[in-house]
Amino acid sequence: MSTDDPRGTGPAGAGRAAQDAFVVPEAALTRFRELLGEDRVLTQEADRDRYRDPYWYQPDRSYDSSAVVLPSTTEEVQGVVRIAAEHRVPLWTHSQGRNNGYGGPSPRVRGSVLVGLRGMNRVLEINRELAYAVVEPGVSWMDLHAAIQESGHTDLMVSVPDLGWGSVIGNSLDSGATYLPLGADFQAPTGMEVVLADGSLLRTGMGAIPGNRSWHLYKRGLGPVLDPLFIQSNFGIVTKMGYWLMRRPQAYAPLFLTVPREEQLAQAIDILRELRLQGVIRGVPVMQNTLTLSTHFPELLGQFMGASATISDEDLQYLADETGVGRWGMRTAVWGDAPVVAHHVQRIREAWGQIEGSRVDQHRVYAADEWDEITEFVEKVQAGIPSLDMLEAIPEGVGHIGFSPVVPLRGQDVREAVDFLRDYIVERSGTNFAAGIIPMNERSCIIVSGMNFDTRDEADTRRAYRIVRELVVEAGKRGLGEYRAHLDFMDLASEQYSFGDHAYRRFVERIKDAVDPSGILSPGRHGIWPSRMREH
Amino acid sequence: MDDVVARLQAELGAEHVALPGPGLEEYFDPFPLEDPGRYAPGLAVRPADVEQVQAVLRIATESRTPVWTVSQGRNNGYGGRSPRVSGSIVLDLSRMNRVLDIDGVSGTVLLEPGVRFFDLYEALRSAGVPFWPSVPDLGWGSVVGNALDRGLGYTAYGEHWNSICGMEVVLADGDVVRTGMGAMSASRSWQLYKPGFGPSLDGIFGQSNLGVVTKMGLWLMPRPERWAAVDVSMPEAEDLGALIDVCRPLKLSGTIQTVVSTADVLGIASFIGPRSDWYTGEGPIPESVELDIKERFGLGRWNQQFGLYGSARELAARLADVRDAYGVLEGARFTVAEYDGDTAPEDVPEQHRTRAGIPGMYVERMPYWHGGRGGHVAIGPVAPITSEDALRMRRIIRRRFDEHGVDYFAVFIAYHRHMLHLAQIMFDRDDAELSRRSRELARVLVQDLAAEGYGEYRTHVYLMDAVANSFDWNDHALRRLDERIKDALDPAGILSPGKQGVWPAAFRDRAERPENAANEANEANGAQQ
Repeated sequence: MSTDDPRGTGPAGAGRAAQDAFVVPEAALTRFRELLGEDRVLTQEADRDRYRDPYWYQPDRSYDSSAVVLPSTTEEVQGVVRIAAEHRVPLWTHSQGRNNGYGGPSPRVRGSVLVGLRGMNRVLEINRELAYAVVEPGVSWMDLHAAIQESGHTDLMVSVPDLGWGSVIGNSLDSGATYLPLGADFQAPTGMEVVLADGSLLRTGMGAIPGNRSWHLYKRGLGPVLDPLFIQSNFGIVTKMGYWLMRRPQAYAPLFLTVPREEQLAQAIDILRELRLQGVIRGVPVMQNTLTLSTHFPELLGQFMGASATISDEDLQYLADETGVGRWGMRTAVWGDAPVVAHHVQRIREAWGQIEGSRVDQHRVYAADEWDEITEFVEKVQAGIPSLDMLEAIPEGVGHIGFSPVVPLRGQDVREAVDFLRDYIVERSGTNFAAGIIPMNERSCIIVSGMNFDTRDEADTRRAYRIVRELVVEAGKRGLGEYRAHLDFMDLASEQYSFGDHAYRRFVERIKDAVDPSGILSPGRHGIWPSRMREH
Repeated sequence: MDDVVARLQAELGAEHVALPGPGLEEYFDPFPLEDPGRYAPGLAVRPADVEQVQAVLRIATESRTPVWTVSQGRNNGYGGRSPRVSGSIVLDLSRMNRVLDIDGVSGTVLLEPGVRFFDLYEALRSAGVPFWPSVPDLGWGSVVGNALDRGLGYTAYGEHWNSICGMEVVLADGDVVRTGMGAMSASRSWQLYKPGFGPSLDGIFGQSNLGVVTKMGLWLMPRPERWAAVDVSMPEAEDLGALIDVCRPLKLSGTIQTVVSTADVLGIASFIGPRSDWYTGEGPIPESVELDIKERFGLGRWNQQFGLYGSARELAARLADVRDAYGVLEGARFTVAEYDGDTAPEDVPEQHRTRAGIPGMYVERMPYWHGGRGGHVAIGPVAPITSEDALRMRRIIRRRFDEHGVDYFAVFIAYHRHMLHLAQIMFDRDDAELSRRSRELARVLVQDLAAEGYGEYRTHVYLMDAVANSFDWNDHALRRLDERIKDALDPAGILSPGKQGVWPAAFRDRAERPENAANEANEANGAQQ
């Protein structure tokens, strides 16, 4: 992460693309200004710096942009892409750019022009009868929720992530997690409009038939299904997307389940899988370890901070018992008709009761007309009410990088993966292991781990990135692949997906070259490089 | 061509290369809508493994001979095994029929393309795992092929496309790709996590000619404690809209877990016996005859079916909700048959079996409505689940059936937020006059429906270009992109050219598009002489 690293590939030089920082030609800037006006083409460092990953060591300029352009219509996005193609300017698109911990809005190739879509923030449609919305990329969860309230269709709700400021489209295109039943497995996004690298416009699925009313209802269309091709990719810029909504249920019961002892984790995971498979738990629960949950109990956690770098297992057990959160605690919820909810809560109690000493907390069942009374963060997020509450828990200057491998939702597999991650992080960093287990569907989970660090401290930040980068490789050797990767190790994460001498990457790069021959759209995103920048 | 045959025989063994003659008969469309020569296979090959698939593609590339892939090739009503370009080598994967893995904990399987629904069912039974497959009406087809062509079944996992998790695909140049987590050799999550890292590729291999799928992961439904087959009938022709609107909220809320199919009298009658049992006159079956059939078999004018699953208490709650919702329909007859999850297949009546994932051949008589060697082709437009759309599609379609003097079989199938209207056109391939009218009817329906903004979910080889032409937003932007990808991955254009209207550069002049009108004659002459 030396500040003069010209390759923009971070300290380990892990990238595949070795090229000098790109400098945007003045002629292209002139054209951008003609198209968008002076105000929407930012070149001053202070202006551009508002579009960076806050969890990066700020004096390091490895992932700097050379300009930020702010189109506000699809036509303007098309114009930007055409200018870029003409001048071979690498673009890097963000919707809201809240991808913090994964690189935020920063580009992979230093000197790229950022395309910021926050200004395209219209909710184009809310269909009450068939329960879906159509949004532009600048629409955040907060915006969509507000639009639903304003439309009066308050019986609709949207599956939201923990932080409500991100883009609905941006989150979806990064495979981000949301927590209601439609949050699992990319179920909600349906039907896209996409600007391609030549500036032309595509509609996927049934949208390819003019006047079709099933564009945002039927995911498949005729022939190959293209929507998933635009996830974690650089084949186009999504300017519209349909997003399925859920009808507010008759009853909503938020729950908190504990696992009192560390050795009970495998048992808990197996019980969770069966509840998911049987459809008793339908949404995406979040199970966190003691340390993560103890942040809600600063006075207790405070006893251990600073005493030693790593909190001992014994002390963690003390914390788990005193706070009552357990060694692992899981938030989840049940939604449905009142008798079904009561029955499912009962089944959860019966199943979870097999874990000795465990608890199932269920304080209240909300009826559909009691949504206004939902005020706690964990209850809001699972009721489809977005917030920024979680930000308050993050102290100034604390940065985070995520490492989130996909793991089978089986007790033994999760146990092994957690042990590996904890031992690695504790041993290599001398700090504590904070983690969350998020079952993305009935059969697999991601284990969200990583490192916290002081973004103002270069050595601390540098060390954190180095450790996680090495972890990507070590985990890869064990068959653990990331579901999403930070900018600084996208190439490394992609490198682990090497079946058939990197057959997957060869395949997607052939598509990349076909649809973006001048290689201007987000080069390097998730390890996909256009031919002109591909060097091993 | 002699050289091609010799090389294929050397690679696969002579017995696995079908030459023109009786051995090739089964590779023609069993229900051709027109001169079978137009979609005639040149040869058929039956590789045993991935290496032999690669060998076939190598030979095809070198000789510039197109290949048309089928898994079992039971795609009847959509062209069977016949290729879009006549003279193609049919790549028949039915010998690759191993169930490679059954995960009885997570409920997944890894299959080769030749595995039939019957095979999968037996494999799961003998493994004794507490999971069900989802099966379509006919159990003889390929599980993989059906999922790729977006077929449907009748359990809670009936949207087969949604159950796909991870594939292995042989590309035109012989390269082998594994999608999703399979791209990481040591990953244990290939069949467990769909998106993988980077763009998700499973989607582009459906209804597609970008590769040959040689392995597919699929999710299975956990066997429920209890389940119920629910049948609702309504007495009047006007009741269709009410039935569609009443099921929509139940689908949206997830109360009803399966697809909801709604069939008219003829839709049901076709399973029971041939037309001649009821009517031998000219023109479409008159309403009076329809009413007779309805009475005789105790049917409604509209007959709706779905399944419910859960623990005993959960099933009771779902049933109560469903009864409440349907209670508003005057004249509805509501019948419920409840079963234990482990009820033996022979104790489940034939018409309920697919709702428990038990494969059969219940509707095998349907194509023989007109007797003889039979014939049918399905038109399946996609629409929102609203009474307005159901009635509008019915109006568009009914008029044309009447005009062409063809019996109209109507089935509406509601999924999660969309529905299909499956309109079956029945004919007898040996009745030239009826075949001609059926052919013309199919074509005009595609046009009429597209004019109202309805597109097909899947289509017959005969109609692939016509349907693809209707997906024309922004000067065919979707097709232009599909074909850019096609050309990049298959520069010689050998893999299933014309599949779903996507053509490689090498054969694009054969596409039925306005700009190619002059080339029609060429195509009629076939690809390989």
